[in-house]
Parts: sequence; C-alpha cells; structure tokens
Amino acid sequence: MSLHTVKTTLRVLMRRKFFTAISLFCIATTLMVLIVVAAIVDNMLHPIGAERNFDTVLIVERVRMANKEETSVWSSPLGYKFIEEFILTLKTPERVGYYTDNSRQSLIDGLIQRFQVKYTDDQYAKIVELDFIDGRYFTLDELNSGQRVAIINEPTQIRFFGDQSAIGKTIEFSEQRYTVIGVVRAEAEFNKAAFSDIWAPITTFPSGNYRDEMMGSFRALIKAASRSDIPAIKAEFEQGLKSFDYRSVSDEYATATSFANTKLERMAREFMGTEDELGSGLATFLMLALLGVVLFMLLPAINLFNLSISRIMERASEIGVRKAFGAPRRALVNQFLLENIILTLIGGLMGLLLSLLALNLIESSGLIAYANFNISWRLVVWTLMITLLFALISGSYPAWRMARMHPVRALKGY
Amino acid sequence: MLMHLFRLIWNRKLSNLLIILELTLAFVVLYFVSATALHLWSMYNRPLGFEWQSHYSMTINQGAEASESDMERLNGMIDRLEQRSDIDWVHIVKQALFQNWHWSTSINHEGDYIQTYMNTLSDGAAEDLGVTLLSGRFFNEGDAGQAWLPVLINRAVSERLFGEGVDPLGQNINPPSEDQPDQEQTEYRVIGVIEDFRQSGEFWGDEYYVLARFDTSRNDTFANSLVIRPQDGLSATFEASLLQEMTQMAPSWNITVRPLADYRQDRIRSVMTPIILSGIVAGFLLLMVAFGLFGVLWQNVTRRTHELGLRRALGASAADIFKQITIEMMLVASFAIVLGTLITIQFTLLGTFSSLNWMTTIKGSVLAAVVLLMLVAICTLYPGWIASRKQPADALRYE
Repeated sequence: MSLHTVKTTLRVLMRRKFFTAISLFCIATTLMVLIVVAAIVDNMLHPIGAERNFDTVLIVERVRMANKEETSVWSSPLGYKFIEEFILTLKTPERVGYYTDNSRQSLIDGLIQRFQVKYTDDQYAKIVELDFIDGRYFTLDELNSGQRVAIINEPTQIRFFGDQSAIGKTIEFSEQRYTVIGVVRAEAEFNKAAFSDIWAPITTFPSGNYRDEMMGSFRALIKAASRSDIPAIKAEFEQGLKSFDYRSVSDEYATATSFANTKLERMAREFMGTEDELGSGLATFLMLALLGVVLFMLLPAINLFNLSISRIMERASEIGVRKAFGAPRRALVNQFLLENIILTLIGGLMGLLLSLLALNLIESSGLIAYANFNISWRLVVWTLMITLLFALISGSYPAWRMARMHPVRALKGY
Repeated sequence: MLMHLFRLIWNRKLSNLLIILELTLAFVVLYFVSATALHLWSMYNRPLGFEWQSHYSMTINQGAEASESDMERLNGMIDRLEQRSDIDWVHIVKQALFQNWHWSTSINHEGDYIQTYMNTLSDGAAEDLGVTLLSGRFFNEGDAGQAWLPVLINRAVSERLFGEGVDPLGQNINPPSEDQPDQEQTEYRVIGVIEDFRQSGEFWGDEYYVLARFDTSRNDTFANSLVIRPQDGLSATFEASLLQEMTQMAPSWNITVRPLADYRQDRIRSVMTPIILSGIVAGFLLLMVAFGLFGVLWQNVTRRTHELGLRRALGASAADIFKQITIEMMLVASFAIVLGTLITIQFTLLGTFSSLNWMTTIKGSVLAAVVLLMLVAICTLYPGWIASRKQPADALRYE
C-alpha cells in the first residue's frame, strides 16, 4: 500500500462528503455500542483495581440445601458454619477469606446516611488488594480480640469528615463506635468482592447468631497459588461437600450443593440462572453472547453493504475508463477493498473516541457506583479485528461485482 | 399502475432486495421497542391498589430465626411508634412493599389449583393503605380464634376460581396440603374482594394476589416489615429520630427506615434503566438505517436519470414522478413489514416472552409499521423531489 493510494482514497472520500459522512456515522456508532458493551464486560472480568489478581481466585457465593426427598429446598448465600466446615478446611488453596455485605445507616448532622459495610476476616485483604491511600487493614490480633476498627473508602471519608483525614477518628453505625485505621480508593460496584464503603472485623458483628448458620449472607474467596491448581481446588471442595454428614447440623438437611466459580463462570451462571445447577452453562452463555453480537451487527452490516454498493456504482464511469485502459480485475478489487478498509478504520477510530466519551458519561452519571472503565490493549486489538472484518464483509461483494462489470456498461453508467 | 410499479421494483431486484432486508430488520427492532413500550405503559397505568405517597417503610433484619421474645419486642416497638405524636398509624405488611420479598403459594377451590402471591397484613392496614374493596369487609379483631383464616382475594383470583359475576364471599379456599400432611389443615375463608394489591409496584406483572390477616396476639410468627404513616409536614430529622429510638430498643437488630417513595423509585429505575439503554441503542440503529436509506435512494434516483427523463419527455408531470418514487418505496417498505411481521409473530406463537400477548403484538406491529412507513417517507422526500426536477434534456445529456 503506497502513500499515493492512500492519498487517492482520501481524495475520493472527500469528493463525496455526504456519502462518506453517512458511512462513517454508521461505522462509528455501531462500533461505539460494541466497544462500550465490550469495555464494561472486560472491566467486569478483568478489573484493574483491587480485584486485579482474580484470575487465580474462585468465588463461592451460594449454597443449595435440600432434604432427602428433595421436597424442601433452600438456596441462599453461605452461612458462617458452612464456611468453617467446608472452606476454611481446604488444603489445596494458597489462602481463603470471606466477607458478608450489610447495609448500615449512620447519622451525620442529624440526617440518615446509608453505607455498605463488609465484615471480613483478615485474609480477605490479602486476596482483595485494596488500594490504600492511608493507613492499613486490620490484623489477625485485632480480628481475634474483636477490636472496633474500620477501613473506609475515599467517598465515605468525605461524607463523614469533609476534606480532613479520617485516620484515628471514630465513626458510628449499628450503635457502635469504630476507629478508622485505613482509607482506600473506591472500587466499582460490579466488583462485588472489593466494593464497599466500610470494612470491619467480622468479630464486631452486632450479634453472634451467624456462627451457627449453614445458610446466611456470607461469600467466600479462594485464592489458588496458580491457575493450574484451580481444578484440584474445585475437586477438593466438591469432595468435602459429598462426604459430610449433614444430620450432625440439622435433621432437615441431607445434601448441600455449592460451586467455586471463576469470574467468567459466575457471570455465566448469573445470566443463565444456573446458580445452583451442576453445569455453569458457560458454553451456551458464550454462544448466546456471540449470537447477540452477530444479530446486532447484522443491521449495520447490511446498511453499510447497501451504501458501499451505491458508492461504487456512482463511480461506474471511472471504473469503465480504468478498465478500458487495461486495469486488471484484481487491481480494481484491491483498490475498492482498500478504500473500504481505510474508510472503516477511520470510522473505527471515531467509534473508539465516541466510546471513550460514552464511558465517561456512564462513569459520571453514577449509574454504576464508582465505575472507572479502562480500555485495555486486548480490547483495542479486538476492535481493530472486528472493524477489519466489517470492512471486508461489507466491501468485498460490491468490489467484486464492480470489477466484473463490462467496460461498455460501466462507461454508460448503469 | 401498481403492476407496472411491481415490474419496476422487480427490474432492480438486487438493490431492492437489500433494502427490503434492511427494512425488515429495522421493523423487527422497531417492533420490539414499541411492544415493550406499550406493555410497560399499560402496566404503569393499571391501578396499584394501595397508597404509598407519604408513607415510610421500616424493615427489620434480626439475624436469625425469630423467637417468641422477638415478637414481644416487636409489639413493644409498634406500641412505642403509635404513641409518638408525629405518627398517624403503624401497620404490619409482612412482605415489604416495592421490594423483592415475595411469598408465593398454591391455593385451590374444589381441586382447581392456582399459584398466587400472598401477603399478611395486620388489622386496619388494608383500610389505611387505601385498598379498594369491591365487596365484603376488611379484617378486624373478631376474626381471631376462628377455625378458618380470613383472606381478601383480588378480582383476578375471584374471577379465575369462582367465575365472573359470582360472589365468592364466605367460600373456602384451601392452602396446599400435600406439603405438610401431618399438620392440621386450616382453611382460608374469603371475607372480601379487593380490586388489586400490586405489592412490588407498577412494573410487577403478576395478577393473582391474596391478603391474609396478621394476628398480632399470637407470638409464633414474626414480621420483618412495617408501614408507617407520619403526620403531614414532618421535620427533616423524622427518619433519624425514629431510627435512633428503634435501634435503642433492639440494638442487635439491623433496622432500616426509608420512605416508600424511595423504594418505588428504585424499582422503577431498575426496570427502566436497561429499557432506556436498549432504547438508545435501537434509536442509533434506526437513525443509521434512515441515513443509509437516504443515501441509497439519492444514488438510485441519480442513476435512473435516463428512465425518469424519458418519462418526463413522454408527458409525465413532476408530481407524477414524485408519486412514482414515493409509492415505489412504500411498496418496498410494505414487503419488509409483511416479512418482518412473519418473523415477529413467531415469538408470540411460541410464547417466548410471557409479556407478549396478542393485544400487545397487534398494537406493537401497527405502531412499528406506522413508524417505519413514516421513516421511509421522510427519507424519500428529498430524493423524490430531486427525481421530479429531472428534465428530459438531462436524460439526453447524461453521461
């Protein structure tokens, strides 16, 4: 591809400003929607913040318990007893931690303010790598002795203390006073393991009832030493559930089903509604996602196809002249394809810029709390590939058809 | 004339086929947008069945299985709330309003089973919430200690189980018995029919609803949700002082006090956000189609200079040409609409989406067709006008 060809192409595109503008609009908006959706999904699966090392973390969120006849079935997040019995005893993981999400209210200047509080153990902070601005997480000693210490995120610091540092000051919720020992950067809402306003030791939970529950409001995190350990951890967890005698807990329970999921598996389970089923439905989920993208691209692709044909037909006489002077068919096809690729690439670039704008808009709208989207290189490369595919699909047939046209017909212009 | 137009369309079948394909897809997109919008609109306009505007919700999470002392404590809290001068009334509504707490069960009348949602309300709650009573009466203290449990059923349950125009008062309906065969069977007796009680708000689709009585004198059940009606013109610190007082009475309970209006707003937002986002995407798609169509038509008209110039030379007026181009496009769009309807009707026939009944399907199709035809008409205006300006001389000079 010489510089000359690019220049010619740009000149051709500039000559028909209206058509170029319409084509660019189509390409740019289609790609914008795709990039925005892809960026959100990408940030959910591969976050950049505290959950950045979650590709070696398994999440256990739910347990399904049933009696022998399967006539009574309960399904809920984990209870503390479940975690004690089945998660903390695991030998294959590098470490395990747990947390429970609670909504708490606090009075600030006589008005109720709502916060999300995570009660956790000390290992939690070694799996979820919170970004500390100031201070630290609580230690094992503080956990065991039930010290009322709290870690808060930056927006919470502002809500309580304005622009002053919160370290060493006290905050109050659930009728209890906590001393702030750490301030962290806010995490996006969809990073469920890392998102919270306040973190506190589980031993300071208002009542101790949770200790005897098989089902409750807990979630467990299992950190593997490497990705290759994940199957072994899953197998050990499954084995533990199978060999347990549930009668020792309650007569009502005979079986328990629970799964340790990666982020992708969890997303598939949530989407497919297979939270308590054996298969995660991952393959079906990926197929559906692909089908969705294809269906969404279909309308813009046909539209672009139509526009390409129109654009090329308009230049019939130019083609006639080139053919008459002996231009080979391949040269013409290449020229049109190249034109289409350049046009689509410009559109793709515009789409990328527009999607940055749209993502910024979503961030500032507060639709997703504390969202901070990052466009990764992986995403840019994918976008580039899809853009090229788009160009080839919408450009190849019209180019081929034009190149095949008889010079006399082409010269006559219809 | 029409036959001739069909022939003209047939002569340019490839380019018309592509336009038809594009418009068909556009119709499908439009159909789903308009059917969803119509469905939500009709849901929004159905009466909710109760008032929420100035009420507060208080929810309690006591952490574990409720004991008898918990119920005593709750009764104490209700007494304290009723004593406050800034509160009109306090009632138990066990399944909290505008939240995702549901109790679903199957009931039957003479072996005819339906799955219904239920709720338990304390005496006076239904009146004070402004529930519309069609016949019968609300709960009162005299209902305690009977062999049967009094229930209020909504119109949908009444018509389904007892038939239209039949008075169900005094009839019995049975809660499911096969679950607990050893337990003593208590029957529900219908003491009134209410218009509706759409517990989770305007966009909650389920029709069947039954209200049972919450007996505050019994200590074996617990309620996690209260509805509070404060007096008008309350101060900004009402919520806070209420919360403080309640938390002092039960420090280990996690108590939340919020206006019902907030919960309602949350529900509406959770339904509307994805709808609005997909609406924006659909809008972009249609705008794209409109621009694309405009470009293609303009180009087509330019390429048909010979044909149109010739028609002018043979005596057709500018208006005739304009009409020809417009009607041609309308025919093409009609093909697309027929094709699109064949696709969209499958979803209703297969029952893919429970919200798509025949009424919504027909209304949605008509609306989508009208919008699509308007879109096409707007896109044809300018190209049609250009076509009508073609002079016979243009056709001869064209090269």
